[in-house]
Amino acid sequence: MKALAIALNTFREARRDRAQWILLLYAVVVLGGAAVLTPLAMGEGYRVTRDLGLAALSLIGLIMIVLVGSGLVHKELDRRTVLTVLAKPVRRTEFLIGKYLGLMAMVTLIFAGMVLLLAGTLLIMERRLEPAVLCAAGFTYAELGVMTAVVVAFSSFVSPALAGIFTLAMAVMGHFSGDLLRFADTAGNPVLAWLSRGVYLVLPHLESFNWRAEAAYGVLPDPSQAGGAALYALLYTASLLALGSGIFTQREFR
Amino acid sequence: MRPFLRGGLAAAIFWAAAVWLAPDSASGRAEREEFLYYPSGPFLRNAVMGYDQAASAVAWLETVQYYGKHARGDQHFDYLYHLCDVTTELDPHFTEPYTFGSFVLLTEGKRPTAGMKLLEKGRENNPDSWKIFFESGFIYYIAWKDYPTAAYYFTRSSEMPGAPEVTERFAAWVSTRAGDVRTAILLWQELADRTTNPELKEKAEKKVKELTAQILEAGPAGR
Repeated sequence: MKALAIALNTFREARRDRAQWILLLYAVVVLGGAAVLTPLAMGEGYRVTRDLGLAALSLIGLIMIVLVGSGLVHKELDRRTVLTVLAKPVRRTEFLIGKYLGLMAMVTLIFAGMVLLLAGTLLIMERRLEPAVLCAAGFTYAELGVMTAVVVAFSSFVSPALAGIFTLAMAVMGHFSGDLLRFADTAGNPVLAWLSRGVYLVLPHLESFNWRAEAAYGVLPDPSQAGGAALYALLYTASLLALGSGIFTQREFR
Repeated sequence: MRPFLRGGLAAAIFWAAAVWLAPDSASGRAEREEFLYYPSGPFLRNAVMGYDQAASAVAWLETVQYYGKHARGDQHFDYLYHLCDVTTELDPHFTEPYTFGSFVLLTEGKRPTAGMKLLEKGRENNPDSWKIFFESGFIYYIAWKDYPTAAYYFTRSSEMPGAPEVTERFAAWVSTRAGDVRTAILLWQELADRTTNPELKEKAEKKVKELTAQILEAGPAGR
């Protein structure tokens, strides 16, 4: 309950920061893209709008998470409100989970708006919307859930600028993590191979949430793929929040 | 003067000065742009970090722009193969760059080998795409006048899942009426009816008119 109260407060704060204006940026990308690029795409306007729309879901979502999330805990420290909250019987873990849930509520609201915009645009364009597009959006939502946990974890112990940079770096490396495994298989040096495998396990496997290529050809994930990705997202998020709480618990506030 | 107006005025002056003094980047780019197109090769898909589809869509838009610019201008399509290759490297199952690229390279670009290379790549990546096999037959019939190979590809196309009945008809016609102008007209007409690409449609319809006029001029003996 305490975590939910903090979540509600975080959500209100994100709204006060006008995070919902990100939707406008997405509308410009999708509607503008559909209107401007369709005549230039030689009959492939639907495809261009769908592919750019799905990519923008992930990229704009990530930008929003970094912008809103990186200063999440720091703001409370700066204004000393964290001391008031933690003086009450609220555990630091609850505080961090509340922050995560509040930010996720904002992400969910904006993400739903973005998906509705994309679906509406595609329906208007060709009166069709492949279920695979919605699946790809679902996978992207799971990716954003993981990246929200990353930014919340970083924001609990580093400055907002560093939290933002580290989160973006994790997003980039998370898409390359599969290459580390391939590198480990071909590396001649066993220490290097072991190290690569270790880093691979630590980094988020963001390619597990990339269903955009399949969506382009109407391929639906089988339940084990979707379930596996959802379970991985949940467990990875939990581990990040646990790590963030562990570090946050050790911090001393003066 | 109010501080707000003062600030606005200063901003306008600096902006105007910046625009005035800026080098003409557009003209400089026009010369170089063809040499700055994307890298290719095995690292390309890694470089776009999972956004292959979006990158492929952007590469396709660049391809269309490149085609439009040169079709209206010098009629040289030196980088069209590279652009189509990059687009299909990012999304190997995107069939339009194979068919459109090969068509332009064979008919306008005068580079049939590059066009056929694109179609070969397309057939390799999409072994069950009737469109790419049909296009291969089309190119062999129209441009290279290699009727047995054209018949082979039309037959292969007709065996693919989702292939329309017309592919089977072409396979039969090409086998029995090799070199016949009426078959060529039907092929162009089929292309015009099937394509969603307005440029291709226009060219195909123009070709139908040309060939029809050719038959009418020749009279009954020439048919």
